[in-house]
Amino acid sequence: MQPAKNDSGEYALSCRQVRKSYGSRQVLKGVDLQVRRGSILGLLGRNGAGKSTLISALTGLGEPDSGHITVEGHNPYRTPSRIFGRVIGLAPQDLGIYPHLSVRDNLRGMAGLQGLNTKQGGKRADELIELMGLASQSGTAAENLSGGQKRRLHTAMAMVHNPPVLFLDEPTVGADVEARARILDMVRAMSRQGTTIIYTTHYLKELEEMGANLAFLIDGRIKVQGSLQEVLHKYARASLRISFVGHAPSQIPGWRMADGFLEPDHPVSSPEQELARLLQEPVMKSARLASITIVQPDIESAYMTVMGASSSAPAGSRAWEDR
Amino acid sequence: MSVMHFNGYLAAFRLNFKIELRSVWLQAVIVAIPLIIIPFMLPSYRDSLRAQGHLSANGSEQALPGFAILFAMFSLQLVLQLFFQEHEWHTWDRMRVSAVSLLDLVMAKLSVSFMVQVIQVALVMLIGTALYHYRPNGSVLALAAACLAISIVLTLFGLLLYIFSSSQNMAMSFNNILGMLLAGMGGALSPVSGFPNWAQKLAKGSPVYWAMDAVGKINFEHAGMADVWPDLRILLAFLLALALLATVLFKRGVQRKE
Ligand SMILES: Nc1ncnc2c1ncn2[C@@H]1O[C@H](COP(=O)(O)OP(=O)(O)OP(=O)(O)O)[C@@H](O)[C@H]1O
Ligand SMILES: [Mg+2]
Repeated sequence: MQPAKNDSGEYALSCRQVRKSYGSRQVLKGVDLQVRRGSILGLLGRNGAGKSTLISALTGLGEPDSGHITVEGHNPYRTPSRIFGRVIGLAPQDLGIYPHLSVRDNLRGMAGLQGLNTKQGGKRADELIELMGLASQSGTAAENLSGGQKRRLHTAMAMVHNPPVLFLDEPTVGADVEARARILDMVRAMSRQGTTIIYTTHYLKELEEMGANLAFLIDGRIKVQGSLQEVLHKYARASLRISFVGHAPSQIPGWRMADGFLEPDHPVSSPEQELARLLQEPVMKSARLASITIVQPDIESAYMTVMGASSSAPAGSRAWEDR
Repeated sequence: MSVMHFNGYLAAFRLNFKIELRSVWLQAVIVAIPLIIIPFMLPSYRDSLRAQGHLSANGSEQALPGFAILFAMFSLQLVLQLFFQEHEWHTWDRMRVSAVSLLDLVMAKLSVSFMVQVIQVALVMLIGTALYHYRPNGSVLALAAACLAISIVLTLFGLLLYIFSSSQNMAMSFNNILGMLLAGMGGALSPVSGFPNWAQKLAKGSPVYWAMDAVGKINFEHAGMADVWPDLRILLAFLLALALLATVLFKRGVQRKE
């Protein structure tokens, strides 16, 4: 199922200086991104950062105002659907299923559109139904599925044709623990076959589980990109987040307020000692604590570091630029 | 737009046909209602046709094709649904990133819609013929050609309504208003020959007029294909004009809905 042609380079996808505005609002301000063939890329960013906009641009749904995009050697906007449609699979962020058709008919219908014949389509549909754990619902109209089951069907519909490049925009929203595990299993299975996967999520643990590479979309650009290990090594730190009832004490040396939380303004090696020191501060005597969170040096903390650096420090003042 | 590819078109046709099957009950209603209304109208249609010199008329000559066309207009809501639902269900983006081209997709939807129109008109005409003793003295082939021609024109009219409307509700309202206007103006509700002079001139602006004109010739004048050809030619011109307009405006029309 791997592309026979256009695999001269090691990148399945690359884009350069991609810009896109909605009216006067510039959402993508020059995105540079390269995704290695066969890898999983976790695309991260706040709500409204432009992840879905970038995915639309990469899949041929929304032509950028400027910039270059190549997916398996194809320009999405110059390649006929009959060719480009088979190169990519997309599960958009908004659930897109035919409510009155059965689970099986949704998958078969999609398979037909992707150029599989009736026999291949039926076989692939059954395979995916099995993988998704929807065997007992295969004849059920999609509208009668639960939210998590719908999301699984929606995600599987992007995979019917085993595309070499797969875009999954928040595929696990609304999925329960088991459904999430199923979806991650499917993604891993596709990845093992050599599929390149671009994956957005707000559940960072998923990316850790899949060993994904990470790219952070911040302020319209990819600000940090690297393997999970690289990002953890560079940005994950232990920290503390403290909230208060009423006014937070101000001007504590070594601490700052960010998003309503008091945090150390420097890397912390032992959060416990740091906390003990903080409680000695005279201003803390009159403060009323609401919560204390110890942040472990994991992907969440790396995310917070990268995001925190982007929101509260002027560019270049801290070592968070990747290149 | 590029060339069509048969497999993509066929797959899209199959999918849209399956979706359309869900509305079978609505189609059945759209077939049944005109058949129920027709007997109420027969006496007055008969009188007016006889007054115009068609002494053997029983009223079905006007009622049957007239109501078949009027209700074919109403069944355009099925065309509109076929397009708007894809936006409502968020499946439009899926279609667009699939291996089926936009042209194939649109042609598949239009084909399913056209098929619905044809079945609709054919059922009303056939059942109506049996129930209300419709006996045109002209060629049945010419009658079929006129029905097919107006069905294609109406289907394309539906496509344009989709393009120009920002929501399904808006398109449905347009369809009901414009449908009544075009059908009434074109003589589907009462014979054009009974219209005041100025209205007879205006009637020619509606494609329905040309279908009804052909039907009139087939009803009473022993008309064959050659005799209705002038009417068919004008319907063909309507068809080409609508198709051209749709081709030019389609992309922008779709983008407004995204
Ligand atoms: N069609 C549109 N018209 C106008 N503005 C839009 C449109 N689509 C997105 N936007 C704006 O572009 C910005 C980026 O949206 P986008 O959906 O790409 O964000 P996202 O990173 O996917 O967010 P989320 O995590 O919430 O899915 C947002 O501010 C949004 O309001
Ligand atoms: Mg999004």
